[in-house]
Amino acid sequence: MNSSEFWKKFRTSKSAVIGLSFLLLEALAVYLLPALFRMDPVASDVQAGFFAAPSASHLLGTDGAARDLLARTLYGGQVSLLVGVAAPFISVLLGLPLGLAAGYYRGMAETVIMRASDVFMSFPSVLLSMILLSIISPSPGTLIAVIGIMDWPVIAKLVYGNVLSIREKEYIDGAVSIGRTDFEILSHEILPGVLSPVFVSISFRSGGAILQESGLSFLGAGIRPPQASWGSIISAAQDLSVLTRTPWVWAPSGLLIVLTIMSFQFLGQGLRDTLDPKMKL
Amino acid sequence: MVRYLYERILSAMLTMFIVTAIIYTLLSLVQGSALDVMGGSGGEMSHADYEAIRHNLGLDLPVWARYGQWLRNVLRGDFGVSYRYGVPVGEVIAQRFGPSALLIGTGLAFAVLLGLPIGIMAAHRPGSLWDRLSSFFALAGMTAPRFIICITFIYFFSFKLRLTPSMGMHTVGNASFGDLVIHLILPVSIIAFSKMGYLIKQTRSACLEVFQEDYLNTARAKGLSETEVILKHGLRTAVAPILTQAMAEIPELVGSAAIVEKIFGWPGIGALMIEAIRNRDVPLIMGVTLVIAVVVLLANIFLDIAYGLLDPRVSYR
Repeated sequence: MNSSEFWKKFRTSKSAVIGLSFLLLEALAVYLLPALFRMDPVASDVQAGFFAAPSASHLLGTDGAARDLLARTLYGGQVSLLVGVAAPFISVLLGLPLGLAAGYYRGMAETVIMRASDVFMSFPSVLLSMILLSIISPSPGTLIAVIGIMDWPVIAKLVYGNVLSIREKEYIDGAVSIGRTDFEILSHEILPGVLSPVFVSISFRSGGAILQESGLSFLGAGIRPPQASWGSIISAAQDLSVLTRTPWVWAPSGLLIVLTIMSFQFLGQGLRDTLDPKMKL
Repeated sequence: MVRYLYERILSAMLTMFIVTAIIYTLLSLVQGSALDVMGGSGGEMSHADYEAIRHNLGLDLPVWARYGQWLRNVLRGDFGVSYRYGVPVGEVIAQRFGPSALLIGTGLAFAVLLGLPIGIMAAHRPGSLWDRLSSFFALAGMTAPRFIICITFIYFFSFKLRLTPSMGMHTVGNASFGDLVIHLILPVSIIAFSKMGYLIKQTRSACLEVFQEDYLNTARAKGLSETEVILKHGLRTAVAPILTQAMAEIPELVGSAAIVEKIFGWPGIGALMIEAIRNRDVPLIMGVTLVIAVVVLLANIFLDIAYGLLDPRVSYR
């Protein structure tokens, strides 16, 4: 499928187009608006007051340290989108080669790699991430690394399953019989066959990574104030009086998280339907 | 069957050993700072005291030796003493285990009781209004983060509508069953709602595949009613992929229950774990790690067996 065919088919999926448009608009907004309007996410406007309701000078109100919530929500969006886009690439970087090796070489490599992924998947990833983040101090970079590492078994299993079915194909026997090396077979014959499911799964994993990041930041194990992230903004709602009396503090960030994750989900479904509707993920 | 079970249990024990060893090693990197959390660093403690406490806690030994010691103690039933609470870890966990089991068990039961029929009905008439509504419901359950659902539910149901309490397991001084039930409603519906999403989606796609099989037409031709065809012949086959999905979801379920427990102040094991990690309470973290690993692996084995009993195509060597 060439790229014009791809777009033609992709455009027919309404939800995928909506998802992609929302994500692009959101990315433009969170990266451009703060710079254009010189917003400051850490300055306290004591005159406006703490937990001030939305007004002309603070469109989304202020938080418990009298910081502008619109600025914090936009800067928080930068963190969430960055983690969402970058973390799945770490998972692919680890999971793709391991899955290829396990599926192609079988034997010992298969046992060790698939066993390791089972071990990884048998423990709640939120709790394991919290333990890791209590060792290395949390920042956008370390969050990307931790969340990316947590997800490698998902990619490895996906690649492994696809390699197993491809290596039974006759053209692989053909490549072996004309004496091509393992590396040539893996990179020329097998890799192209596993790329589409990996590509689709990146979109789903992006939503998952944003979910993980916001959850960890909410629990205080991720991004911490004064730095902003959607999860850490909502974390103020753990205080019952903030939750009940000042919904403008947590509602916008909460809504954005849900819409962003849904958009990645729609995008992933659209990509899957475009590339191969029968793909199993 | 016995041989299969034996192998499954052996491999589960190996997994448990690896999980606890990895987490122990990771934690050993922060054990020094656990002393600081206890109020050790700075000028309050002399160097000799600091060293004495390090020695008492066994922190002057290499990691593998400490892990070996921990494992030997665990096998004797001794999980160590919590740094934070100063009481045996086993006691703390025993207190917290029941509430978690109650919360997760009830949530899961509701998810299955509601999710399976919704998914089956969606697959029975694909593309219908019911199908589209239930897909949207499932998507919402799968994508909305637990902590956001918790906050929204507390805001609307506890605060705006004043229907249910939002904190804890009992009203102080009231230990009646009715009081427990009203405290359970919100956290249980959140767990059920988020688990139902996956169940509906998985049930729907598994049933869609099975419903096309010829043997269902054979069953219809025999004169069985539609309900009998679906429940007796269809569901039995569709249940296998549903269970596979359920297995992969168990650790995630424990993790999301931890967040729900934390927000609702539910005295469960997940909230305990979050607190223990924050306090760097190593013996307590290790104890809870072991309990969670055992529960997850036991549930896996249990589902594996159920899989074989339910799906006529599976046999154990």
